[in-house]
Amino acid sequence: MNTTINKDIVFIEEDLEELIPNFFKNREKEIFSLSKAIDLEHYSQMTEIAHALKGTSGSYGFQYMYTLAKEIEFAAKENNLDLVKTKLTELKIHYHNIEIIFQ
Amino acid sequence: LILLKIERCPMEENYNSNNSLTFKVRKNILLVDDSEDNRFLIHIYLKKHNIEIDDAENGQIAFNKFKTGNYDLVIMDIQMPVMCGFTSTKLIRAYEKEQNTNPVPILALTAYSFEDAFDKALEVGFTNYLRKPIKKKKLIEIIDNLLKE
Repeated sequence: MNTTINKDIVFIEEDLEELIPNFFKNREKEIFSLSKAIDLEHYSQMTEIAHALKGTSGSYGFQYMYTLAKEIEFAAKENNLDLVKTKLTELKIHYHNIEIIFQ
Repeated sequence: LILLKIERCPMEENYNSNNSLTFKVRKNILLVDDSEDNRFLIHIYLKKHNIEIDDAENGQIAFNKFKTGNYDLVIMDIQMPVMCGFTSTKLIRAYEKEQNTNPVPILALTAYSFEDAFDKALEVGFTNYLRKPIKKKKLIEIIDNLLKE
């Protein structure tokens, strides 16, 4: 039996369904802003964006997105550009593969 | 992006009904957060609870609204552009003293680990704090405590 947990499957409260399109629109903007901050090696901006992403994704129930944002925030605080880039790539892949189940 | 729906089981309905706090008299809350996603989320969580919510995007707007509004509770994010939650809360408390009015409870909302800073937060004038991620049950519990009728 395959017991691997698919991190791209996200269970979200049904009440939040109407908010999800706007949620994704704003996360896309944050991912874009993070990429720009990486290009500029602007660490405080990376930290700030990842911090906001962490708070919002966690509150909406996107646990894996929350974990990745937390890791990006930590890596940015440590000025670890390679790790920020790696985690951002993971975040982009996750973002494009999310399957939401409303419950 | 794939969206699916599953039915809620009766047990979950019962569990959720525990969160169905409703005030007899409509309560007014000033909600201060620069993230529209967080504001929308709190609106959804509180929409069935006889609560009127007024939004502010930063501490400066919040202070201006506070002076002209009549609120039972302020929910205040800490890190915001223009004016942070600490400064806004200090201004609100000073204004209350000046006007000789009862202090309105102010709930800090933060994604930071707040335990160490909480003494400072109490000094500034916060009544309590709620850590992000925002969880519906916890949010309603804490609002219920702060707005006890």
